Amino acid sequence: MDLEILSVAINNLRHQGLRSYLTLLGVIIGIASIFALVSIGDGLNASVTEQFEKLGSNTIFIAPGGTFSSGSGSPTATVTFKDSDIARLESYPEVKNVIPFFATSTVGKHGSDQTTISIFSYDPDKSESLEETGTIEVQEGRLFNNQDVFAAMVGEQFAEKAFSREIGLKNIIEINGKKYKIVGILKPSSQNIGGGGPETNNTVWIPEKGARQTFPNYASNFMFAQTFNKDQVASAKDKIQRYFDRVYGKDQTTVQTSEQLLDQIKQFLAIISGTLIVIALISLIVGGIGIMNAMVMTVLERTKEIGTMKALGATNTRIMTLFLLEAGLIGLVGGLLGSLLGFLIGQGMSIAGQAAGINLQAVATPELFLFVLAFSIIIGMISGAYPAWRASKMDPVVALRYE
Amino acid sequence: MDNVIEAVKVSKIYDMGEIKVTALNDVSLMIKRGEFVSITGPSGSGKTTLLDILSALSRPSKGEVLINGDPISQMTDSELALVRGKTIGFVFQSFNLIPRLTALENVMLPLWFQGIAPKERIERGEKILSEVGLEERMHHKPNELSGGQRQRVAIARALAVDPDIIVADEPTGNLDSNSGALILSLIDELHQKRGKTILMVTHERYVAERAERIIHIKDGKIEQSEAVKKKTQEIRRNYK
Ligand SMILES: Nc1ncnc2c1ncn2[C@@H]1O[C@H](COP(=O)(O)OP(=O)(O)OP(=O)(O)O)[C@@H](O)[C@H]1O
Ligand SMILES: [Mg+2]
Repeated sequence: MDLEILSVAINNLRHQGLRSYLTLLGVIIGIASIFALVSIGDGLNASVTEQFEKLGSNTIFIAPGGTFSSGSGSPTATVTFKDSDIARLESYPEVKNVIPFFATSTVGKHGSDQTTISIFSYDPDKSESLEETGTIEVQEGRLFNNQDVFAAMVGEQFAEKAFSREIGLKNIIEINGKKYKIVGILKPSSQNIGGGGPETNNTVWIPEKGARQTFPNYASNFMFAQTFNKDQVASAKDKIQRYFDRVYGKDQTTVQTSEQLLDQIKQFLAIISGTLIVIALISLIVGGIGIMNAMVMTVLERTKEIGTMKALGATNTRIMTLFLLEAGLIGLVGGLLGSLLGFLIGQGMSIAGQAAGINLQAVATPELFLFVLAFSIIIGMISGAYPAWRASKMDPVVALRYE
Repeated sequence: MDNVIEAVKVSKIYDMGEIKVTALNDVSLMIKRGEFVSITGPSGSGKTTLLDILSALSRPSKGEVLINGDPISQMTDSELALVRGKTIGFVFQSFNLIPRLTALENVMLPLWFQGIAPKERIERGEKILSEVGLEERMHHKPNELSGGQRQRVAIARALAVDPDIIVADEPTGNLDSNSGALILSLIDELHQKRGKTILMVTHERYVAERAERIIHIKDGKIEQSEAVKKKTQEIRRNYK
């Protein structure tokens, strides 16, 4: 194929003016949405992975109930953990320490203002270990010590938004009639555990002593177990699961590693972004139909011209190539502009997300760009195939007589 | 081999479903190298159809056409397109220039189809356009040219590949008498100075008489093949 046919095709498209641009627009929209969605999806994945890496890959989560339901807050199932369970876990050689929690939800008041809050409570002796898991990280104030009873720690976002007025250190939150004084504000990222752990926005941490006096049903209903190193996680997890299955019966407790949790969240993200990409694909198919429509029109309009070219010695292959190229070019240009627009949308969403406190950076790789571009060209060619074939098969005499 | 085109018992039948239109009925005809032949006859008699068949633009329903001795039934569509592009130059009644291309680009088009290198294409195109008196108009688009100028571009395009045969269907049909006369004398020149074989459809007697031979068509059959006297040819050709 000589390159010249390309310049002829470009010339033809340029002369179609508005029609070419409108056709192009359809492709641009489809490609831009695919590009933006994939890059944002990848960005979310990367951000979640990063969060989990902070969390430490040697942490095992233990909760009552069949499965963790991601982000659902406090466990509500009936099993609670006893001191003997904790002692048993601590006896495993792989296990460095065990941090039991009491998790529940209730109403918290600040002055006359009130809101539903999640309570997470733990023994201040475990403060250091907990910090090590990356679950909590102090931004302002301090962690609990052994003297604390009615003390509380809240996330930065909770402090800002939970009540109509922003709260801070030394402010009081009333929980079930007990007045808790805020001693620490936590960094936002440190709270994103997911998977049955503390929720991002409305968790209030209190020490075990206070919780025992506030909640008559106090019991450990959630646990972290940390291994000495990463390689021990899998075997420790199996041991722990087997132990709980034996003591409480099968499926009464769920033991998961942070890796498993990450996988679950990634799966969930994949379903969401997959769905969105399918929708974007549909819009690209509509763009492809636009190309087909424009090409059918073009072939019809240029019937006489096709007849002339054939009379002048153009072979069917050349006619076919010319129209295929025109369609492919719409795909190419649409792919280029669409990727650019999609890239900008991704960046815009990242900025908007970060402003809203979501740690998101859209990922736009050269691979994505090339893939989307190739895809767009292929869509163009596929859409152009039928009209081009029709053009190439035209009987020159009939085409020349066409009015 | 002095027949450039030979039609042997050709018929063209258009199958319109219920009715079949016989546009050409068992026609045999030989065109000698360097001959100037007019085809004439009433409207709908099959002139254009005959020309299409003789110029290998369409295949006959029955019979055989030989171009320079080669039967076209033995050629694929692509081979036929290339043979057609190389041996036959077309001049259409409605010019059929590509509106997006300049005069020069239009002339270069058949050279492109023949796979000739760009540099040579430009040289040849410029030369031929000068020969038809359009050196000033080479870079104009068809819509910037008069009808007569457009038809001259079309003739230049037909000449680009230096074909043996020039085929013209009512080449002056869309032109005023002055432009028409200019085109006709250009065609005469191609015949006399360059020795091209000319096949021209016309329904005007005085135009047809410029040729050496007139084929009369009626109802898809050759009614008569009439040799034109040298004297008559000259009178017609000098007539302005
Ligand atoms: N594609 C076609 N389908 C059906 N019939 C056709 C087709 N092309 C031509 N015909 C018929 O074939 C016959 C010959 O047509 P043709 O165009 O060859 O006539 P013509 O002599 O060139 O007429 P004119 O002087 O008007 O140009 C006519 O009856 C016409 O209707
Ligand atoms: Mg006709």
